[in-house]
Amino acid sequence: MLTARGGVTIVTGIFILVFGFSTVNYFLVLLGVMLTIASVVSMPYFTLSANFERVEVKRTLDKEKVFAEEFVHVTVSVSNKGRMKIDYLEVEDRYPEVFTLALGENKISTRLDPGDEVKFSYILQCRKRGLHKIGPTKLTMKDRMGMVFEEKEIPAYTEILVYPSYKDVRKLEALGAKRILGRLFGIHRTRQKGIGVEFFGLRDYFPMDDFRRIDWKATARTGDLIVREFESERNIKIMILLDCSSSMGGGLPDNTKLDFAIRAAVMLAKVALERRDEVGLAAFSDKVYQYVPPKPGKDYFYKILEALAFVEPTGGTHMKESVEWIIRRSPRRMLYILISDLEGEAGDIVEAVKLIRAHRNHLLVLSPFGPWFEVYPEALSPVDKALAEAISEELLEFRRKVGDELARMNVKVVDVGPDDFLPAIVSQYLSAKRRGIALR
Amino acid sequence: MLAAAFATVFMNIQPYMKYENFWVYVWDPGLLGLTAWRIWLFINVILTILMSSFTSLIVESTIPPLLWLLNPEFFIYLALTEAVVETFTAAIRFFPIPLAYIIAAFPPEQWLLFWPSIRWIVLSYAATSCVWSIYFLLFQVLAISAIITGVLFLLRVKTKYLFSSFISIQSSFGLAALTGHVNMGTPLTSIFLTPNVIFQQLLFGGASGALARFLMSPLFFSALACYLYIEAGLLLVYISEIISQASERGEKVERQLRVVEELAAASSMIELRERVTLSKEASILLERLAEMKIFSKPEAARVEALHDMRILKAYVEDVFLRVPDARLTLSTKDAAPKVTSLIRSSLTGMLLRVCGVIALSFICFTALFVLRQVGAPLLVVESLEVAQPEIVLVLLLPIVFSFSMAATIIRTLTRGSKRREGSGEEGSSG
Repeated sequence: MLTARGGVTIVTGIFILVFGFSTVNYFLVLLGVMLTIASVVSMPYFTLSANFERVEVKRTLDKEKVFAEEFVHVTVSVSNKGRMKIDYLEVEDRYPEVFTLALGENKISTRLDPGDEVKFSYILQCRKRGLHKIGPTKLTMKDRMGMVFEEKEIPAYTEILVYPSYKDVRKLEALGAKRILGRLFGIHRTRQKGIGVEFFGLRDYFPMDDFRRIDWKATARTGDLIVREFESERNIKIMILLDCSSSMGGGLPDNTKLDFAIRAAVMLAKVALERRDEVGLAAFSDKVYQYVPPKPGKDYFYKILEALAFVEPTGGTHMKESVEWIIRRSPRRMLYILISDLEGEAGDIVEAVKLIRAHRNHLLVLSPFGPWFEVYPEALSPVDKALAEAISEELLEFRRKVGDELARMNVKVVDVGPDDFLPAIVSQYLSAKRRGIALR
Repeated sequence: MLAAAFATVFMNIQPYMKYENFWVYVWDPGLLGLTAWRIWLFINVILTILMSSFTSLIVESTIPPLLWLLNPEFFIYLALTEAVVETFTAAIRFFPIPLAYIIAAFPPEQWLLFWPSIRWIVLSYAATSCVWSIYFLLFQVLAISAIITGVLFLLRVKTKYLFSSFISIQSSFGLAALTGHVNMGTPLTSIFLTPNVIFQQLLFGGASGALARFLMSPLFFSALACYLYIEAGLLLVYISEIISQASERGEKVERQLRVVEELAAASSMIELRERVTLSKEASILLERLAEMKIFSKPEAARVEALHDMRILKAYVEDVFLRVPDARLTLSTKDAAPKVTSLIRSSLTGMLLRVCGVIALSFICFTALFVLRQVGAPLLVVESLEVAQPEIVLVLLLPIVFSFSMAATIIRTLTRGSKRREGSGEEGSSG
């Protein structure tokens, strides 16, 4: 095919030719003939030498899994395995739009003799979580004069799994929170009395109590049989219910309610797992898309991250069905933390909450309030502001109704915005721990 | 090549151009002033014609009712005065002075009958005369533009400058051809007209004689010089692109690394609440990164962006430690091919191309000779069409399309064989 340069040359040639004829100037006619021929003369040889099958492209990444907003080094090597030289080869290694080229360039123009190899590399910033594919590689060959070209996309992809951003956790670590949390590992007061090391109190002896627990000094002092009670050091079990319905995708690009919800889930998972609690995750909308049963262990954090990486806003909300499905798989008592914008049907939400509570689970609802994520009030015109306020009022009214219903079931709904989303989830979790709910 | 192309232009276009029966030296500095003056007059003439039409429109639509109140002779004399002044002025400017006196010598009443047509003739001649002088200016402008863009091409080696200078050179030729002022060696300019010397040579001098005659003609030399200019220019662009790409990329990466280091250093300084002055590049990058932090306040967004840069710097340092050739592959310093082999191969390729183009042009331009060589029927050889200039197109089009066709056939055949190979492999693996 002709390149733009080839097109210009041939058009110029024809124009000069025609002009030469019109003015009976055979110099211009000859020049026009030469230019026109020159723009096509190398076509057959070029087509013969443009053998893409003999060009080998290899791509390597320095890591296959990476946190969002972190970097990855991509190295591409191109070699000519054919017997003819390639005069001009342009290689463009494509990457997903959600990535940013941080350093270097993802393309190269070069000349390859038979058996030659060139390597180039670039650094990408992975901005969005999920499973992404780097590729394809676009090869463009041109003749030496740049008159004709052939191009081909080599459908070779390299997968890279991008976990949700780790920067919130890193910030927390930087603030020294890790050390504080570390001291608290496994040590939290519970009202469940049992065998432990921490003294809780004294009470009267009841038949079936273990004789070894009788406090003889107190018995001697009071004259009645008194037993000692100890606090048990048991951890709690948490299930993060993440609403990933399409309404959660509302908000500014890369800063949607779902993005914040995922950041909050990452933060909660990290903090809870560090404290040796069991953490599970269920991302749902019209069905459960991702399910990770609650388990303890720091390594389990990556399992949750992997599940979160694939969460996308999709479908409507069928909370009750999803909750049924989850409870069937995790029937034991636990603390459910529901992160949802509560923009589904009120009846469905209430039914789902009833179901959770009916299984003697504790539930905490963190609800991102849509308008706080979608607009900057300062950026709105007066008319838009009035409209936004009206919509907000309507939404608030709906949430108030749902909130009242849930409050009757002793379920707290915490409204959160972009600024207080992350602190809220951690503080609610710590508060639940302090109250000793949902012990395993 | 540039010098050869320019020499061709300026030697073949006569430096003297005919103007109002006088031969005027094209590069006379006074002519530039004269041309500018002519343009000024041309604009005046056009404006006069426009204003005149507009005035007559207004007069014709508004005056008649008032006419009854005034003496009719008043308008006649008014129009006459305007016509005399206008025409006399134009005549003095654009015609030899006696013409004005001749016009003025007519009795006013008789003159009045003819004045509209005389006026239009005078004004249109004046306009044509000015346009004629614009050729001089355009020629000068094109020549200067060709020199400037040619020098820019030599300095920057960009295709746009190459084509600009080439088109400017050819336009000056075209302009000269349009005004009939090209001296291109007369024998070949009339090659198609029988009988002529070349045809005699072609018909009776044999193949070598014909080719020699073709190659030695000034017409061929001039065209070859211009063609080689663009061919060599494109080759220069190719070599420059291939060689300079690696160094430019290396410089770009070094610049990026400097900016990253600067911003990473600034990050620490800002945390220590020290005042930081950033370079322009670093400031632009920082602003761009800060804009991406949507929910952060401007100051916090800047700090976050700086923090990102610090992470990037740490990552790059880590990559350089882990991957020994990372710096080389980032800057692609080893991707540039060897200059000597590149130039040798490029020159060989160019030589082959040029030979091919010359041979094919020869075929196009000497249809009669070629037809005789291939033993075409006498009816065809001696037909009038073969002696017409259009025979160039008759031969050129099949030649051009044959290359495109050959490329298509090769592509189809190679793809077909690859497909067969592929299916064969699949079959054997299955």
